[in-house]
Amino acid sequence: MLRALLVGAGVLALTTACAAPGTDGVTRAADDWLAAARAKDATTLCRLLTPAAAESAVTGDQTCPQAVGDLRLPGAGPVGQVEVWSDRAQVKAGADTLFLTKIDGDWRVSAAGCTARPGRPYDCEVSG
Amino acid sequence: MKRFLRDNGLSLFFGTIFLLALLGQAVSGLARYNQDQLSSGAERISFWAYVTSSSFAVDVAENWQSEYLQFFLMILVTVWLVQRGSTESKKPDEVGTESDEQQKVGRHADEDSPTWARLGGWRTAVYSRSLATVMGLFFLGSLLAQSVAGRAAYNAEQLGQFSDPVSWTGYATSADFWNRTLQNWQSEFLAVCSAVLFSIYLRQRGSPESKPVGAPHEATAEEG
Repeated sequence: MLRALLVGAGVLALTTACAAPGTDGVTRAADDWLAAARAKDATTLCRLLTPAAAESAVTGDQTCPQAVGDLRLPGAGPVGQVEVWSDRAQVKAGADTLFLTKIDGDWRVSAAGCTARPGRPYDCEVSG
Repeated sequence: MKRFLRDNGLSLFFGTIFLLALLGQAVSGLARYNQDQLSSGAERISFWAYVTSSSFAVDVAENWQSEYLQFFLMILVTVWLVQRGSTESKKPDEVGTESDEQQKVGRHADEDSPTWARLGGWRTAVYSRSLATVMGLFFLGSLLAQSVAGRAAYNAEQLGQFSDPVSWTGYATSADFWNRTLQNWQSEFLAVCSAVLFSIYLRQRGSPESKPVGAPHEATAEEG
Protein backbone atom coordinates (compact mmCIF):
# COMPACT_ATOMS: atom_id res chain seq x y z
CA MET A 1 0.00 0.00 0.00
CA LEU A 2 2.82 2.37 0.99
CA ARG A 3 4.67 1.56 -2.23
CA ALA A 4 1.54 2.31 -4.26
CA LEU A 5 1.15 5.66 -2.52
CA LEU A 6 4.81 6.54 -3.12
CA VAL A 7 4.41 5.70 -6.81
CA GLY A 8 1.24 7.82 -6.89
CA ALA A 9 3.01 10.77 -5.28
CA GLY A 10 5.89 10.37 -7.76
CA VAL A 11 3.51 10.35 -10.73
CA LEU A 12 1.78 13.44 -9.34
CA ALA A 13 5.11 15.24 -8.91
CA LEU A 14 6.22 14.29 -12.44
CA THR A 15 2.87 15.38 -13.85
CA THR A 16 3.26 18.70 -12.13
CA ALA A 17 6.86 19.16 -13.22
CA CYS A 18 6.05 18.33 -16.85
CA ALA A 19 3.11 20.75 -17.09
CA ALA A 20 5.03 23.66 -18.65
CA PRO A 21 5.45 23.23 -22.43
CA GLY A 22 8.10 24.90 -24.64
CA THR A 23 8.04 28.50 -25.81
CA ASP A 24 9.34 28.17 -29.41
CA GLY A 25 5.91 28.09 -31.08
CA VAL A 26 4.73 31.03 -28.98
CA THR A 27 7.77 33.15 -29.84
CA ARG A 28 7.37 32.33 -33.56
CA ALA A 29 3.68 33.31 -33.55
CA ALA A 30 4.44 36.53 -31.64
CA ASP A 31 7.27 37.39 -34.06
CA ASP A 32 4.92 36.86 -37.01
CA TRP A 33 2.27 39.06 -35.35
CA LEU A 34 4.69 41.89 -34.55
CA ALA A 35 6.17 41.81 -38.07
CA ALA A 36 2.67 41.95 -39.60
CA ALA A 37 1.70 44.81 -37.26
CA ARG A 38 4.80 46.80 -38.27
CA ALA A 39 4.06 46.10 -41.96
CA LYS A 40 0.36 46.95 -41.39
CA ASP A 41 -0.44 43.61 -43.05
CA ALA A 42 -4.07 43.29 -41.89
CA THR A 43 -4.70 40.02 -43.77
CA THR A 44 -1.87 38.27 -41.92
CA LEU A 45 -2.97 39.79 -38.61
CA CYS A 46 -6.47 38.36 -39.14
CA ARG A 47 -5.00 34.94 -39.97
CA LEU A 48 -3.01 35.00 -36.72
CA LEU A 49 -6.01 35.93 -34.54
CA THR A 50 -8.17 33.34 -32.77
CA PRO A 51 -11.67 33.08 -34.29
CA ALA A 52 -13.15 34.65 -31.14
CA ALA A 53 -10.73 37.61 -31.24
CA ALA A 54 -11.28 38.14 -34.99
CA GLU A 55 -15.04 38.11 -34.42
CA SER A 56 -14.84 40.59 -31.56
CA ALA A 57 -12.79 43.03 -33.68
CA VAL A 58 -15.46 43.31 -36.37
CA THR A 59 -18.38 45.74 -36.12
CA GLY A 60 -21.26 46.04 -38.58
CA ASP A 61 -20.48 45.03 -42.17
CA GLN A 62 -16.69 45.29 -41.76
CA THR A 63 -14.40 42.47 -42.83
CA CYS A 64 -11.69 41.38 -40.40
CA PRO A 65 -8.84 43.07 -42.34
CA GLN A 66 -10.84 46.33 -42.45
CA ALA A 67 -11.49 46.18 -38.71
CA VAL A 68 -7.93 45.23 -37.78
CA GLY A 69 -6.57 47.94 -40.08
CA ASP A 70 -8.31 50.54 -37.89
CA LEU A 71 -6.71 49.30 -34.67
CA ARG A 72 -3.75 50.97 -33.00
CA LEU A 73 -1.38 48.00 -32.77
CA PRO A 74 2.11 49.12 -31.68
CA GLY A 75 4.06 46.27 -33.31
CA ALA A 76 6.85 47.16 -30.92
CA GLY A 77 9.50 44.52 -30.60
CA PRO A 78 11.47 42.46 -30.20
CA VAL A 79 9.79 39.67 -28.24
CA GLY A 80 10.77 39.94 -24.58
CA GLN A 81 9.43 37.90 -21.65
CA VAL A 82 7.38 34.83 -22.63
CA GLU A 83 5.13 32.95 -20.19
CA VAL A 84 3.47 29.69 -21.25
CA TRP A 85 0.94 27.95 -19.00
CA SER A 86 -0.88 25.00 -20.50
CA ASP A 87 -2.48 26.18 -23.77
CA ARG A 88 -2.25 29.87 -22.87
CA ALA A 89 0.66 32.25 -23.26
CA GLN A 90 1.64 35.86 -22.66
CA VAL A 91 4.33 37.73 -24.58
CA LYS A 92 5.80 41.12 -23.66
CA ALA A 93 7.14 43.11 -26.61
CA GLY A 94 8.18 46.64 -25.79
CA ALA A 95 5.11 48.57 -24.61
CA ASP A 96 2.78 45.93 -26.06
CA THR A 97 1.57 42.74 -24.42
CA LEU A 98 0.09 39.85 -26.41
CA PHE A 99 -1.97 36.92 -25.18
CA LEU A 100 -2.01 33.69 -27.19
CA THR A 101 -4.09 30.49 -27.20
CA LYS A 102 -3.15 27.14 -28.72
CA ILE A 103 -5.75 26.02 -31.27
CA ASP A 104 -5.38 22.84 -33.35
CA GLY A 105 -1.68 22.71 -32.48
CA ASP A 106 -0.95 26.32 -33.57
CA TRP A 107 -0.51 29.37 -31.37
CA ARG A 108 -2.96 32.16 -32.28
CA VAL A 109 -3.29 35.67 -30.82
CA SER A 110 -6.28 36.02 -28.50
CA ALA A 111 -5.49 39.59 -27.41
CA ALA A 112 -3.11 42.28 -28.65
CA GLY A 113 -2.30 45.93 -28.08
CA CYS A 114 -2.75 45.30 -24.36
CA THR A 115 -1.76 47.67 -21.56
CA ALA A 116 -1.65 46.73 -17.89
CA ARG A 117 -4.23 48.02 -15.40
CA PRO A 118 -3.39 47.52 -11.69
CA GLY A 119 -5.62 44.85 -10.12
CA ARG A 120 -7.64 44.35 -13.30
CA PRO A 121 -7.26 42.44 -16.60
CA TYR A 122 -5.24 44.14 -19.36
CA ASP A 123 -6.98 46.72 -21.54
CA CYS A 124 -6.59 45.41 -25.12
CA GLU A 125 -7.14 46.85 -28.59
CA VAL A 126 -8.46 43.46 -29.69
CA SER A 127 -9.41 40.49 -27.49
CA GLY A 128 -11.68 37.48 -27.55
CA MET B 1 -5.18 -16.97 -3.14
CA LYS B 2 -8.51 -17.17 -1.32
CA ARG B 3 -6.72 -16.76 1.98
CA PHE B 4 -4.71 -13.79 0.63
CA LEU B 5 -7.94 -12.07 -0.45
CA ARG B 6 -9.54 -12.71 2.95
CA ASP B 7 -6.47 -11.53 4.91
CA ASN B 8 -6.09 -8.36 2.85
CA GLY B 9 -9.72 -7.62 2.05
CA LEU B 10 -9.78 -4.22 3.72
CA SER B 11 -6.82 -2.73 1.85
CA LEU B 12 -7.84 -4.42 -1.43
CA PHE B 13 -11.38 -3.03 -1.14
CA PHE B 14 -10.25 0.53 -0.44
CA GLY B 15 -7.42 0.32 -2.99
CA THR B 16 -9.92 -0.75 -5.66
CA ILE B 17 -12.56 1.86 -4.91
CA PHE B 18 -9.77 4.48 -4.74
CA LEU B 19 -8.70 3.62 -8.30
CA LEU B 20 -12.30 3.55 -9.55
CA ALA B 21 -13.04 6.91 -7.95
CA LEU B 22 -9.84 8.39 -9.40
CA LEU B 23 -10.85 7.12 -12.85
CA GLY B 24 -14.34 8.58 -12.39
CA GLN B 25 -12.81 11.90 -11.34
CA ALA B 26 -10.62 11.87 -14.47
CA VAL B 27 -13.55 11.12 -16.82
CA SER B 28 -15.93 13.68 -15.29
CA GLY B 29 -13.11 16.22 -14.87
CA LEU B 30 -12.21 15.90 -18.57
CA ALA B 31 -15.82 16.51 -19.59
CA ARG B 32 -16.03 19.66 -17.43
CA TYR B 33 -12.58 20.87 -18.57
CA ASN B 34 -13.48 20.48 -22.25
CA GLN B 35 -16.77 22.34 -21.73
CA ASP B 36 -14.80 25.25 -20.22
CA GLN B 37 -12.28 25.06 -23.06
CA LEU B 38 -14.98 25.32 -25.74
CA SER B 39 -16.75 28.20 -24.04
CA SER B 40 -13.48 30.16 -23.78
CA GLY B 41 -12.54 29.55 -27.43
CA ALA B 42 -9.75 27.06 -26.69
CA GLU B 43 -9.44 23.51 -28.04
CA ARG B 44 -10.61 20.26 -26.44
CA ILE B 45 -7.92 18.00 -25.00
CA SER B 46 -7.49 14.20 -24.87
CA PHE B 47 -7.93 11.98 -21.80
CA TRP B 48 -4.16 11.49 -21.51
CA ALA B 49 -3.50 15.23 -21.86
CA TYR B 50 -6.05 15.86 -19.08
CA VAL B 51 -4.70 13.29 -16.59
CA THR B 52 -1.19 14.74 -17.04
CA SER B 53 -2.42 18.34 -16.77
CA SER B 54 -1.93 20.72 -13.87
CA SER B 55 -5.72 21.07 -13.63
CA PHE B 56 -6.17 17.35 -12.80
CA ALA B 57 -3.07 17.28 -10.59
CA VAL B 58 -4.26 20.15 -8.39
CA ASP B 59 -7.71 18.61 -7.97
CA VAL B 60 -6.12 15.31 -6.87
CA ALA B 61 -3.42 16.85 -4.66
CA GLU B 62 -5.73 19.19 -2.76
CA ASN B 63 -7.80 16.21 -1.59
CA TRP B 64 -4.78 14.04 -0.81
CA GLN B 65 -3.13 16.66 1.37
CA SER B 66 -6.24 17.17 3.48
CA GLU B 67 -6.68 13.41 4.01
CA TYR B 68 -3.07 12.97 5.10
CA LEU B 69 -3.36 16.02 7.35
CA GLN B 70 -6.44 14.49 8.96
CA PHE B 71 -4.66 11.20 9.73
CA PHE B 72 -1.44 12.96 10.77
CA LEU B 73 -3.35 15.11 13.28
CA MET B 74 -5.49 12.22 14.50
CA ILE B 75 -2.42 10.04 15.12
CA LEU B 76 -0.50 12.79 16.90
CA VAL B 77 -3.22 14.61 18.84
CA THR B 78 -4.70 11.40 20.29
CA VAL B 79 -1.39 10.82 22.11
CA TRP B 80 -2.26 13.70 24.43
CA LEU B 81 -5.98 14.49 24.00
CA VAL B 82 -8.80 12.13 24.93
CA GLN B 83 -12.57 12.03 24.47
CA ARG B 84 -14.27 10.12 27.25
CA GLY B 85 -16.55 7.43 25.82
CA SER B 86 -15.13 7.52 22.25
CA THR B 87 -13.63 4.56 20.40
CA GLU B 88 -11.27 7.02 18.69
CA SER B 89 -9.66 7.88 22.04
CA LYS B 90 -7.51 6.04 24.52
CA LYS B 91 -8.35 5.93 28.22
CA PRO B 92 -7.94 9.25 30.07
CA ASP B 93 -5.29 7.79 32.43
CA GLU B 94 -3.09 6.74 29.48
CA VAL B 95 -2.45 10.26 28.18
CA GLY B 96 1.09 10.79 26.81
CA THR B 97 3.64 8.62 25.04
CA GLU B 98 3.40 5.88 27.73
CA SER B 99 6.20 3.80 29.29
CA ASP B 100 8.67 1.57 27.40
CA GLU B 101 7.02 -1.41 29.06
CA GLN B 102 3.56 -0.45 27.79
CA GLN B 103 5.00 0.24 24.33
CA LYS B 104 7.10 -2.97 24.29
CA VAL B 105 10.34 -1.26 23.23
CA GLY B 106 14.02 -1.89 24.08
CA ARG B 107 14.39 -4.55 26.77
CA HIS B 108 10.60 -4.78 27.09
CA ALA B 109 10.21 -5.89 23.47
CA ASP B 110 8.71 -9.29 22.65
CA GLU B 111 10.44 -11.89 20.53
CA ASP B 112 8.25 -11.04 17.58
CA SER B 113 8.51 -7.25 18.02
CA PRO B 114 9.84 -5.34 14.97
CA THR B 115 13.68 -5.18 14.94
CA TRP B 116 13.84 -1.40 15.29
CA ALA B 117 11.55 -1.57 18.36
CA ARG B 118 14.01 -3.99 20.03
CA LEU B 119 17.29 -2.25 19.13
CA GLY B 120 16.83 0.90 21.24
CA GLY B 121 18.66 4.19 20.56
CA TRP B 122 17.90 6.31 17.48
CA ARG B 123 16.35 3.44 15.55
CA THR B 124 13.67 2.89 18.18
CA ALA B 125 13.19 6.67 18.49
CA VAL B 126 12.63 6.95 14.72
CA TYR B 127 10.44 3.84 14.54
CA SER B 128 8.35 5.07 17.50
CA ARG B 129 7.35 8.10 15.40
CA SER B 130 7.31 6.52 11.95
CA LEU B 131 3.52 6.47 11.44
CA ALA B 132 2.98 10.18 12.13
CA THR B 133 6.23 11.04 10.29
CA VAL B 134 5.19 9.27 7.09
CA MET B 135 1.67 10.75 7.24
CA GLY B 136 3.20 14.18 7.85
CA LEU B 137 5.60 13.80 4.91
CA PHE B 138 2.77 12.69 2.60
CA PHE B 139 0.77 15.72 3.76
CA LEU B 140 3.65 18.12 3.05
CA GLY B 141 4.42 16.43 -0.29
CA SER B 142 0.79 16.63 -1.41
CA LEU B 143 0.53 20.25 -0.23
CA LEU B 144 3.66 21.12 -2.22
CA ALA B 145 2.29 19.31 -5.31
CA GLN B 146 -0.99 21.20 -4.88
CA SER B 147 0.83 24.53 -4.74
CA VAL B 148 2.93 23.78 -7.86
CA ALA B 149 0.11 22.28 -9.93
CA GLY B 150 -2.38 24.85 -8.60
CA ARG B 151 -0.11 27.67 -9.71
CA ALA B 152 0.12 26.20 -13.22
CA ALA B 153 -3.67 25.78 -13.50
CA TYR B 154 -4.29 29.23 -11.97
CA ASN B 155 -1.83 30.90 -14.34
CA ALA B 156 -3.50 29.28 -17.37
CA GLU B 157 -6.81 30.76 -16.12
CA GLN B 158 -5.16 34.15 -15.52
CA LEU B 159 -3.79 34.27 -19.08
CA GLY B 160 -7.21 33.20 -20.42
CA GLN B 161 -8.66 36.26 -18.68
CA PHE B 162 -5.88 38.54 -20.01
CA SER B 163 -4.24 38.97 -16.61
CA ASP B 164 -0.64 38.48 -15.45
CA PRO B 165 0.51 35.07 -14.17
CA VAL B 166 1.69 34.86 -10.54
CA SER B 167 4.86 33.54 -8.86
CA TRP B 168 4.84 30.43 -6.64
CA THR B 169 4.90 32.65 -3.54
CA GLY B 170 2.11 34.75 -4.99
CA TYR B 171 0.01 31.63 -5.53
CA ALA B 172 0.83 30.07 -2.14
CA THR B 173 -0.54 33.21 -0.46
CA SER B 174 -3.48 33.64 -2.86
CA ALA B 175 -7.19 33.32 -2.12
CA ASP B 176 -7.43 30.49 -4.71
CA PHE B 177 -4.86 28.34 -2.88
CA TRP B 178 -6.30 28.91 0.59
CA ASN B 179 -9.90 28.55 -0.55
CA ARG B 180 -9.11 25.15 -2.13
CA THR B 181 -7.15 24.15 0.99
CA LEU B 182 -9.58 25.29 3.69
CA GLN B 183 -12.68 23.90 2.00
CA ASN B 184 -11.00 20.48 2.18
CA TRP B 185 -9.69 20.95 5.73
CA GLN B 186 -13.05 21.96 7.18
CA SER B 187 -14.76 18.84 5.83
CA GLU B 188 -12.00 16.57 7.18
CA PHE B 189 -12.11 18.17 10.62
CA LEU B 190 -15.91 17.87 10.71
CA ALA B 191 -15.71 14.18 9.74
CA VAL B 192 -13.15 13.44 12.48
CA CYS B 193 -15.12 15.37 15.10
CA SER B 194 -18.29 13.49 14.08
CA ALA B 195 -16.53 10.09 14.31
CA VAL B 196 -15.12 10.97 17.76
CA LEU B 197 -18.50 12.09 19.14
CA PHE B 198 -20.89 9.69 17.36
CA SER B 199 -18.89 6.66 18.55
CA ILE B 200 -19.76 7.57 22.16
CA TYR B 201 -23.49 7.03 21.68
CA LEU B 202 -23.97 5.07 18.46
CA ARG B 203 -22.99 1.47 17.62
CA GLN B 204 -22.25 -0.64 14.56
CA ARG B 205 -22.40 -4.30 15.50
CA GLY B 206 -19.18 -6.12 14.59
CA SER B 207 -17.20 -3.05 13.53
CA PRO B 208 -13.86 -2.30 15.22
CA GLU B 209 -14.75 1.39 14.74
CA SER B 210 -17.59 0.90 17.24
CA LYS B 211 -17.87 -0.34 20.82
CA PRO B 212 -19.78 -3.56 21.42
CA VAL B 213 -23.49 -2.76 21.13
CA GLY B 214 -24.07 -3.32 24.84
CA ALA B 215 -21.06 -1.30 26.04
CA PRO B 216 -21.91 1.75 28.19
CA HIS B 217 -21.60 5.24 26.72
CA GLU B 218 -18.89 6.08 29.30
CA ALA B 219 -16.62 3.21 28.19
CA THR B 220 -13.56 4.66 26.43
CA ALA B 221 -11.20 2.89 23.98
CA GLU B 222 -13.39 -0.20 23.71
CA GLU B 223 -13.66 -1.78 20.29
CA GLY B 224 -16.27 -4.27 19.14
